[in-house]
Amino acid sequence: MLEARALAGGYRKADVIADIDLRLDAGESVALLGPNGAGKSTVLAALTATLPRRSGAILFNGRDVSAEPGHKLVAAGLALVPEGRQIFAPFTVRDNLRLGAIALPRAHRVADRFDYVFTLFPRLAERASQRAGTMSGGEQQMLAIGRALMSAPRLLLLDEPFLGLAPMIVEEILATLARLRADGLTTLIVEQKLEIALACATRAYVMVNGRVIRHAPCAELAAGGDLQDIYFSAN
Amino acid sequence: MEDFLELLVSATASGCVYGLLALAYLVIIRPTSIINFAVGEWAASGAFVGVAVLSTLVWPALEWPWWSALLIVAAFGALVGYGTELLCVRPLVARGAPELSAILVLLGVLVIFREGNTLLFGASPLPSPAPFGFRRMLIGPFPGVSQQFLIIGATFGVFLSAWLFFERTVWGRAFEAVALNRKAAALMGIDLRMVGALAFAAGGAIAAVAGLLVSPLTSAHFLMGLPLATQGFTALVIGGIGRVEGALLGGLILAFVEQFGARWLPVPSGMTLAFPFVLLIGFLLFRPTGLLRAPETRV
Amino acid sequence: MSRSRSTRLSLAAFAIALTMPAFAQDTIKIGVITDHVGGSKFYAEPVTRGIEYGARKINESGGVLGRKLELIIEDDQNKPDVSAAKARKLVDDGVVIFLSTTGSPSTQQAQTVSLETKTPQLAPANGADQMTTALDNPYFFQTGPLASVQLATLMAYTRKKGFKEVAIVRDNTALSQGFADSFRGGLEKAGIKVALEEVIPQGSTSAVANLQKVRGAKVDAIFQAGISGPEMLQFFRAYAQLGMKEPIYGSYNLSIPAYLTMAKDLMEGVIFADAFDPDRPDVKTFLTDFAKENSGGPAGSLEAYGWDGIHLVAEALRRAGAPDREKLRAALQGIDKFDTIVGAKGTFWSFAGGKRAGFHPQGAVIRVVENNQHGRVLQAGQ
Repeated sequence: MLEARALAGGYRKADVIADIDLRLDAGESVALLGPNGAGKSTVLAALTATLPRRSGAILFNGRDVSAEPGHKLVAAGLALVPEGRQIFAPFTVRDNLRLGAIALPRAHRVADRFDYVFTLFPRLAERASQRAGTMSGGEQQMLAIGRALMSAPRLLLLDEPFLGLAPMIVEEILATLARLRADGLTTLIVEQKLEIALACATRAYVMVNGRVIRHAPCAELAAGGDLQDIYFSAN
Repeated sequence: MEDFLELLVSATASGCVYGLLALAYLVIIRPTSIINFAVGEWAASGAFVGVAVLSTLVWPALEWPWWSALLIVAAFGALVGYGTELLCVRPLVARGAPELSAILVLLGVLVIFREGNTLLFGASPLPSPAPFGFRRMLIGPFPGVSQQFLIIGATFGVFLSAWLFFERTVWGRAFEAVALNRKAAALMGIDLRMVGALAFAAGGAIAAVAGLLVSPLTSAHFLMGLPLATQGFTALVIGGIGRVEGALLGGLILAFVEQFGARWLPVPSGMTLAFPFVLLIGFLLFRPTGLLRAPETRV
Repeated sequence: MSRSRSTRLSLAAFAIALTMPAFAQDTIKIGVITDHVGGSKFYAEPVTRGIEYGARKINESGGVLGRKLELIIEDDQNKPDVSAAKARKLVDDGVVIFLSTTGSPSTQQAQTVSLETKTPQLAPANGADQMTTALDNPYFFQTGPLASVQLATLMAYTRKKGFKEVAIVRDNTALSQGFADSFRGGLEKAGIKVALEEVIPQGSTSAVANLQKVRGAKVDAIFQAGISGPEMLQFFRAYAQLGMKEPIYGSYNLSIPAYLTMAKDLMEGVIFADAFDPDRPDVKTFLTDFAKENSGGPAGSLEAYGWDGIHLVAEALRRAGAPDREKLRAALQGIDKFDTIVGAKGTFWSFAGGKRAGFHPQGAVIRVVENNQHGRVLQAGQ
């Protein structure tokens, strides 16, 4: 479904990431692992056309989307749950979700998307008229994911969705991701912790210093010992 | 007491004009963070286009009814705004230039429009017909002339529409979202370029209509842009950029201080010129975010 | 002769014939500095129109000294440095004199060129008092209605009215402040108290507050010293809105026709100083003839200044006997009675006694606005 070839780019003159090759097939769940500053978020920025400078090819559903502007990618079925959630704090839950549906293709109905998201996250349904800024971290993360789902994406990118959340909430969200996978959603999750990646992805790319140094099924990586060794072995 | 009520109407009408200019600034600043000082000259151009449509003094000398002038002037302003964004702002944004570059470029646009107005319409002030004349009227206990009441009514109409747009429509919320968090808004699939273009078009339309409304009081003349730009900016600073209502509040406060101060403060008459600047400097020093707070942007 | 050679000869003869008129007779070159785009356009252009009409009529009746007058017109955009540059260009083009029709600063700047190149310069319509005194330039002549004369005439009329207290209203331009000071000086000398002076700043959207104060002061008359159109319009609007009845006395600034358009229906009964009497029979003839022979609207006082100015130049040239700059200067200085279309009845232009401002001290008139027109003369001279 998604393929990146020799992806490179950065924010100013120097490249932050280089020589990235990624591939996701429909229905897969893949993780992007690496320490802080490895460039994982930058890869997501490159994939969603929000990185200022970018080279390399990106194919989405067999189509070359390397030159597509970001808002067109959302309409094509690619959605991102950004790092730190980035919800619109003064808006209600409902307004936040409604904005997520701005790029919903005409074939879908907004009301149906609301039903889908509220069924997935009953807590959001309870708080539909509450200002998003007054919710807990976990609820905001659910809102961020729900908002991304409002555009009926086929590929969902998530940037460190479990950061700073209590273990109970992490479990809840993992369960929701499993349901989404069962519904046929393809996911690419950026994570630092291998244990969590194990729970929500089948294989992983490992990044260090802007490059992919390893690509393997999660189980294999787990068997290979501490991820820190893999990070340091690259230097 | 008669003086007080009369002045109330006059100050409200002037405050509405300032508020419209402030709104023109605001709809552009919110999603783009760009201060567009050219709105004053756009108001002047709107006034001249109004004269061209309503009277025989300027080509095309149409003498059409006022509502058609309102539509034409608004459309003209929208076109001017959109064109300016396309030619002068978008190339800068595409290159990742800081907002300051766009602000400076728009100062150049200001000069171009002022000189263009002079070349096209001449140096003499032109009378702008008032659709309901200048009949002295009484609305409730308030005495005024019909044009003042028209300005007040039209302004409230514009502000109500703007408020409804931003608070109650999806696209209005999208604009707000861009103002709150550009990156997150882009992730929703909101086309930032289109939001920017529409913001400038809206600002242009509002500014041009403000010029059409005020010109029966002051005539349409090529120097009218700069005072309007200053008054609108001062109103914006007073009211804050966070809320649409702030623009109107700021405009009214400025006009009230100006006119009630001129009437009753024991200050030599020439000093009243200083009031707007005293307010502007005071607010910038002590309350730069203005009176009305924006909705919190804490995430 | 071969066909081609005869063709070439014919063509050559034809070409020479076409160029003949240029060699026929010399013209007398007269420069004109005007303004098509700047702030003085609304009086420079009418004055220039009058000059052009005058030159045309002079040429139709044989020209001057057996030659036609040729006008070379330059646009200074009312900018002083451009005015000086254009003056220099006209001098280089060989003009024997140039006429300045634009604003005072521009005319002053062009004076430096007049002095340096010893070329006569005439400001036919400009009334600023200091133009002949700020620079000691024997080549510069001014026939415009002097501000001092107009204001003195207005004060003479005012004294007859028995006012006790008046208000002055002005805008915040330097020129307006100057008028206000002149008014104040003249009024106080006449024993009339100035109860208050209100300023309508540029950029104002309402003069209601100012005029409420004037209304409250219950004065006998209001002296309008403003010069900026939009602020004057606010004054007239607020005056009408407040239902005020005090008589309005204006400077000669109100004699500019553009204000009648801008403040239509609002200026009825306004008293103002001017230097043109449309009821004089010779003026009536001038206006009728002008309308018959020119497009672009009827003439007013400004066209008359241009007309008189170019005729003054023609008369001086005749007396000089030759299109020579020095002789022309001397001839102009020697004119002590030149009858004009402008000015009160029975007045004339004169440079007697070595002065170079030719306007007659009794030449100003007091007129009243009637039916949205500059109406009849109420008083001629002081």
